[in-house]
Amino acid sequence: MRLLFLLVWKHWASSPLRLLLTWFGVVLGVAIVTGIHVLDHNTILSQLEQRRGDFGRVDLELRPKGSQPSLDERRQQLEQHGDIERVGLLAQSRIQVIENAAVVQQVSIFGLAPVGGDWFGHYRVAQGRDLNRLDPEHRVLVSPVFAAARGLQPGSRFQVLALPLAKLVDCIDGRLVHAKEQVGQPVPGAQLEVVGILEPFRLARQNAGNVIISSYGLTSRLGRSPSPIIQVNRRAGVDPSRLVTELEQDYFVDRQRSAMIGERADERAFRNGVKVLGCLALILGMFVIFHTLSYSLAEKIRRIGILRTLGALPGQIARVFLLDAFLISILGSIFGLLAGLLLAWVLKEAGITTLGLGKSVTTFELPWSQLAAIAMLGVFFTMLGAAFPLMKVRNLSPTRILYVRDLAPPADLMRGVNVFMLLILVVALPLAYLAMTPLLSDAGRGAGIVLLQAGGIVAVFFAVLLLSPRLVRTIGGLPLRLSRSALPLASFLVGKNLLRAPSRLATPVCGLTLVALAMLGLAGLTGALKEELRDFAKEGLHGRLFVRFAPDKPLAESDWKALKNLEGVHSVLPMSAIHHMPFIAFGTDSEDLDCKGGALEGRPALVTKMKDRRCLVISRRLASLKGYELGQMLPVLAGKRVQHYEVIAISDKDGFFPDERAYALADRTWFKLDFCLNVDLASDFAVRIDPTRKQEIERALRKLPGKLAWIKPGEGIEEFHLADIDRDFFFFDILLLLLLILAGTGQVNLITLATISRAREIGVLRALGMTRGDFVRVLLLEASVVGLITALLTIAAGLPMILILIRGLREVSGLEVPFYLPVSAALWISAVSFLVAMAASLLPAIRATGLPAAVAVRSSE
Amino acid sequence: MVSLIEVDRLDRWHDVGGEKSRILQAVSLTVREAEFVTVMGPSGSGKSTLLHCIAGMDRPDGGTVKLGLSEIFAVSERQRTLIRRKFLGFVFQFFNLLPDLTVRENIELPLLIAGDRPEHQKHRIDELLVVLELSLLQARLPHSLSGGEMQRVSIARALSTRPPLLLADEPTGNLSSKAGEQTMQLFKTLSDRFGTAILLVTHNPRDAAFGDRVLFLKDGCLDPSHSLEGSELDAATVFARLEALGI
Repeated sequence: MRLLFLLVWKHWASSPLRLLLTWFGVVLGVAIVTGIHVLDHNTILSQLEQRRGDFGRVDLELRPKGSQPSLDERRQQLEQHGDIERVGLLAQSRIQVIENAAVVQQVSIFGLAPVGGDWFGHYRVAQGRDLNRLDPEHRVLVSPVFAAARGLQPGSRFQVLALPLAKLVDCIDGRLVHAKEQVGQPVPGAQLEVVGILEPFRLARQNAGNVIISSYGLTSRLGRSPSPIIQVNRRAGVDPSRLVTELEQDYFVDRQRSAMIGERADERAFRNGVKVLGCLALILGMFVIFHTLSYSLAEKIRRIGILRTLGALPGQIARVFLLDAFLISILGSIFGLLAGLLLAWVLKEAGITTLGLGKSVTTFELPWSQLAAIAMLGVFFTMLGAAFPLMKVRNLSPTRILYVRDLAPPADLMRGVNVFMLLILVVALPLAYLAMTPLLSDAGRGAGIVLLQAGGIVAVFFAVLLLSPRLVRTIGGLPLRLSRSALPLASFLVGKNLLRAPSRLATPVCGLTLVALAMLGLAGLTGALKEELRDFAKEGLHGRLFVRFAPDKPLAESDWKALKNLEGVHSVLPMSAIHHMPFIAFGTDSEDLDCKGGALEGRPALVTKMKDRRCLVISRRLASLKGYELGQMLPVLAGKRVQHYEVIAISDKDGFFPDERAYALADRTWFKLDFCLNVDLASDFAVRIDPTRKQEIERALRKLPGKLAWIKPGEGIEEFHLADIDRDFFFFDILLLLLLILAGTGQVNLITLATISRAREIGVLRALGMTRGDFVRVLLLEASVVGLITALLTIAAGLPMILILIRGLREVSGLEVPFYLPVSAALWISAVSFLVAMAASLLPAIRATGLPAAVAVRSSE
Repeated sequence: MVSLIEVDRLDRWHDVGGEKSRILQAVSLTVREAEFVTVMGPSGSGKSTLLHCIAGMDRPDGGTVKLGLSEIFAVSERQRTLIRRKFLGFVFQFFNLLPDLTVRENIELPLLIAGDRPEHQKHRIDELLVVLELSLLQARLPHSLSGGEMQRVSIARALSTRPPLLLADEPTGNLSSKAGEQTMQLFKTLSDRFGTAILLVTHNPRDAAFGDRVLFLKDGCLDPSHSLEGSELDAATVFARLEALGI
């Protein structure tokens, strides 16, 4: 053991820079992954806590369309559904508490089925016990506020009575009507027994804390058959969008109280992107470590020979190098975890989340099991990286190592190492990572296939580059031909390096290209999203003013009709919104859709149809996300009845207001009939105008009788949303910057190792008259070869990869994203890679040129 | 006297560019306890290969090598390493010191490899440092030493585990004339003082003359009848024998 620590310690002490760079590689790789995980964990946790203030962990709430089949049958069907893990019923109503024959207070009652066990985390019992299946119906749980108000304890009894029926109302044909009193029917009541008192948590905090939780049957009876809500949780890994689409055939699916945070299509795409970058960071980190350790080992091959001749067994030598790798990886992982936590905290404080900007992260909980898994993954793959070259080295005889002076360890050893590394990095590591951090999509969405394709492109290029030294020589030889006349010595020496150890040049190229491809991929995706937005803006935003009046001082119909008479105003669409159809829908004037550039331009028959029947014009985003088609009849829950609206057009030309792309338009008269909405007044308007008359129209709008809240021109909204894409992807920019630093570190590390191992050669060259400047030029020329190959590879692999990624974005998000090739981004990213390669060579260059020639010549290794 | 090395009809071929060339031809030799034997021969005569085969680092194509009672190529690689560790020390032409260990740590290294604690052998190490005049240099790193000093460290390292046999491969080849002579004198002293048998290969007649017995290796062949030993040994005699053998 002492031998192990002595050799490891001495090795570290002899080259702190090498140690620092290797260690930094592990730290940065683990830190990025840790930062992503902790931030994602807390983003979701915070969102959950914000949305779960009142309810438990429910993925979806379903309300049956129609009365058949029965509730019990539906429940059984859902329980047998392969994608659903848990099904429960919830009924909610209000009842009266009676003392001495007088009503003393009203209280909310929630009925649950199955009773007891609290499948969805709706409550916690603080005192007494939970309900169970064997309890008779009159046994209940009560909230602490209600228990204190009524002096209730477990075992206490109290009297309740249903509300009078007259208070129940419904919207029928545009009128709010009271439900019919069933004359002669006694008002249901019951004497209830308290079995437990709840913690002030979730359901127990509703209705100012006055809550009773009972069996579903009791609430149903006392609440006079309130609309049942079926609560379901999906199985882990099930695609929520697909499940919703499937359930929407028989249910109205409500996600208002959904706990499926970050599972919306766009959120899923975003979070998946973050997770893929996490995987990339791990791959890159391990890539740096693999090569550093492998090269480090190859450079130390002479030392291995000495130890062998002194009687060290292969196992002893293996333990020295494995201990070296183990200590570096353990220390790197620990500091990486700490740095990752710091990164996550800084990002959280800066308001950045894994769901983009604009969401707040209020918690900072550490997912220890995941963090431990990340650290172990880092250590495991680092050890694996050290193990393989060691196995190759230990098979070499000491005589060969010590006496065959022309043995070129890197060339001899690195080839097999590269094959091994590709297998580990391209296959094993992503699988291990994805097993730990599954992507938020099932295989059916094709996201996995897209990832495989994109990864495949990268892997093929890497495989070709790392496994085919001739290719590196050929590509690398091109710039040398150009530089030969201006820099003959540097060109000659770099050319020799290319011949001797092409894989040493290929390695930093791979690392840098990986990051450059990620940057290019991001540029491609954001560019495509912006193009999609610009396409939409041309149709739905340009030449419009979006106007809001204060809700307490809306505009009357006569006023907005008068506005239409203004010169330069093409149409004025009132936007009376309904949010639970289950999409946002606006009630508007159908005839105004038939104007120049309007959604129903030149289609008066459709306008008439829209006025006469329940019809919808839906946006392309809504059609794409929900899979709605022309002619489809969409069931809409209006009060307790189901109405069907026909899709008569799919268009983005009208209806946007002001930031939701998935929307529908109906004639406002139907909103009055089905939802009893007062559509004679409106506070939101989309005004189509002649842009040259914008200022006059704005002045006219300000003179209208309502209280104007704001006016937003469509062009301004487009600019805001374009900036929003950049803001949302700012997190990716930070991650990519860190990855770039990681790749740069890898290159610094490799050049440093190579320089140290060539100290003797450098000394000889210096002794022969090579100046420090000459040597700097050699390293810079070598770096420029790396940069050039990186740039070429980035463009060659990046452009087809972008096409695949955009297809993947379409698959995952359901957005109609156009294909977009970011040519300018490809050029500047290539330039950045080139500069990073150049910058990374400076430190080793300075270090090497600082070495006195006499010392370098006497270097024994 | 007990034989420490018994080499019998050793053959070694090398494959050079697809052509087989014979490096050692039926070489036989014996080295006894506390004996200082030098093997003399020009470059390429097979001296180093002979030494590597004896050390068990290079497997011969024919013949046997016995170190003490062990036939080293009849045992596993692991056992061969353990025999090497216990039985012999090795001195190289190019010193092969570990650059990041101090002089003392380099000398202690074989003890650590053998699982011994250097502090248990403190007297031994101190004695070696004194005998080899390294006491004042013990905290220095190899790169700050002269060639002669580095070779002395290399010899001290080879002797730190008290091996009965020392193999030296052209130990003065990288040294100045004066340092080379001092080093050879040191080998002689060590052999006398510690009773360590030494097998040293060299192409320098002056160095060869330090041995109790000089063997001559020519084109991979070693003829015992040409060997020199006893009082007749000096550089001139060795040189004369070389000329007579046409080496």
